[in-house]
Amino acid sequence: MLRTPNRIACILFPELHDELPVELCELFLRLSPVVACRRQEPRALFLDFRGIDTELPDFEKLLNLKVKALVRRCSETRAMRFRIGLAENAGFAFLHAQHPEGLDTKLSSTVLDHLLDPFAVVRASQKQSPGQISAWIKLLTQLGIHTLRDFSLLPPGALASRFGKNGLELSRRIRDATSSADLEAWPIFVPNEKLVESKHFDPDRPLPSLLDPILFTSKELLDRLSARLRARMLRATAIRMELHHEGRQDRDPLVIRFCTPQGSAAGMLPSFRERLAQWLQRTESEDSPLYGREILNVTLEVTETAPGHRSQRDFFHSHEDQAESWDSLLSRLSEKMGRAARFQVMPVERHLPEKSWAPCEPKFTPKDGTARSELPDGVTPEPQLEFFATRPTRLLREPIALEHEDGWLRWPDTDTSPGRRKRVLRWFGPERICEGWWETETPEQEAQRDYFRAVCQGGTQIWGYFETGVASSERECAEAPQRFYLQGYFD
Amino acid sequence: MFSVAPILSMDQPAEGSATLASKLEKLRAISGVLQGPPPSREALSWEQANVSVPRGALTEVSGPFGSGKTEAVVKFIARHQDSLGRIAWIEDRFTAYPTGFLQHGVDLSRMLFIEGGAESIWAAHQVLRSQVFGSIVLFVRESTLSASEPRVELRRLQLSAEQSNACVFLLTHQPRPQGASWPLALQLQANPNTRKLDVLKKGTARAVPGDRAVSHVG
Repeated sequence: MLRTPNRIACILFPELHDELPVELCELFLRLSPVVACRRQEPRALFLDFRGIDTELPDFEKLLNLKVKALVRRCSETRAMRFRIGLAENAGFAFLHAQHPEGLDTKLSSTVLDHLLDPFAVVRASQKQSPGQISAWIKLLTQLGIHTLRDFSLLPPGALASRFGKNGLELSRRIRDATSSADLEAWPIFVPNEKLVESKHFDPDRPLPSLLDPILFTSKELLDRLSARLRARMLRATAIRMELHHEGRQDRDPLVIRFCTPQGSAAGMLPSFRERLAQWLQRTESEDSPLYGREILNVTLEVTETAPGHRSQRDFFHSHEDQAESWDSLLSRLSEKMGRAARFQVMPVERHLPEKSWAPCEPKFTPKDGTARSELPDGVTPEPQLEFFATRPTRLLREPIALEHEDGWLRWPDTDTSPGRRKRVLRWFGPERICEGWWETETPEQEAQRDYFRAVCQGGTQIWGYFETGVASSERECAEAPQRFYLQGYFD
Repeated sequence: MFSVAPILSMDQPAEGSATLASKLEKLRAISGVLQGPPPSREALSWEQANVSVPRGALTEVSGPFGSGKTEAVVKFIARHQDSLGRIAWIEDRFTAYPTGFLQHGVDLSRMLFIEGGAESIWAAHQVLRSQVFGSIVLFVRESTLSASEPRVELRRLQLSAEQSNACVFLLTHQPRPQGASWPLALQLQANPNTRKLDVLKKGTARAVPGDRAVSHVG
């Protein structure tokens, strides 16, 4: 018995610019249980055939035929071109698919990037920047290293100090190219779970196309769907109903949407009754293609869901009710203004003011007075982050560069009026903030700021910074003829 | 040791729903560790301005940028966060700096921030209707509010606030003119020089008398 070598197949779609269709990914699950998608261009699908025992002498040819058949089956992608690359790990399979005429092993930034991250899952912040990779290649060329093979011959002990962890990883991948040791974590494609219930009827005893029999059948199916939804802590917001009438090839769909998410058949049936009655009225005329036809199959599928909560109320708390109101509010806000418009805030351990917080998805917590702080009401809590100077309550998205001269700050001119001027009565500071030197390539790109709190004429208090070194004390500040970057207000 | 049995005794004859309700209250009081006191309907004192902030009504805090109005509201929230419960912070263009809030002791996990743009007033109505929030801070530019009839908008907002019994703070640059019938229960103005709040108006803006009336502090 022949054993197919441990192989990874990469199916590259060079002309596909949008996301890979989900139907196509689902079809490929027929070839291998492990399928992964590349979410960036060039789009590609990866199939894992390791450990599959077959008696196939010409595996590549057969795979080509199978893939061609599957791509054609997905009707929307009939004209889609593809190329297959086979190798022992995902990175090389991807490279083979990109270079069908023969793998170009010459070092280039694209080749290195694709080898290191074939699935395009590594975040940009953790990747080597294009500038760093270009610097690598320049250095390697100077050392006489032009190909992947040359690179793999470098002693691993010296790589970490010269090229960092990514250089070491790259060398390991090139050296392991011929082995099956693929330590890559695959972002495996998992098809969406469908909640579908259906009931078939004997052609000799079909279901009459009348409201009550259809509702009676639907009730049974809805009960089953409700139980499945309850187990998943979900409620239905839309259900698709398909009726298969005798003598018709196509099924007739009917989408029923609920104003509020429903978790029980009792809650769904009134909407069903209303929609079905309307729909059946239309089929009663003799012109309708469904006139006089009986039903052979009823199928219900939950197409949209919302988070559900326990239906049994807590005796002591109203948390369940509040959680539902909270979810409902968030969904209304998202629908009207987008998900990014409503958020909660998470502090981030960064010194730069604009990076010291991050929005996060709102989460319901029972803090309605039932989860109380340790302090009695009316007592001001101790301020946190005492080791920092006081922060303002308003922060501009982008700092505004103000001209600073002789203790006067001048705002930039607008289209309609010249910039206003304000005299600074008192400076408080500086608070020096230097951050990001470990992320930037040159010292010029580091953030080095001396923050001051300025009390302006009229009492307005603003917050901003000079570039480091301009003013090291409050007295020097008044004379520093430099730009002051206004970043916030003590509003 | 407090015994639960007498309160729940089923041998006694039915004494009406009022008695049952009081027994339930007692039972809830026993489990007070979990439940906590019922939500207060009292006005909340604001020492910085020497006034009380009414629930179910609008409170306007005005002042130019950098005058300290936001800071004053943030401090008030930090001081009364148990009474206020959840807080919705709505702005048409988000410029709040949450790290600054944290320094004043505000529990950020109680706060929901909304950048509503032109829909900020609509968002405030939705928040109030949800009955989940004890307080709303609404910071909208005059241009956003003036897109419709501001007096009518504020009246609607006041009605929503009354139904949800929430404290609604309006942050504005200019105070609404006094003497006109603006539906504001309390008008405060931040004084940038003293960093204190001056009281422009205090009084009841609602027609409902009773326990939620604004307390007048001289």
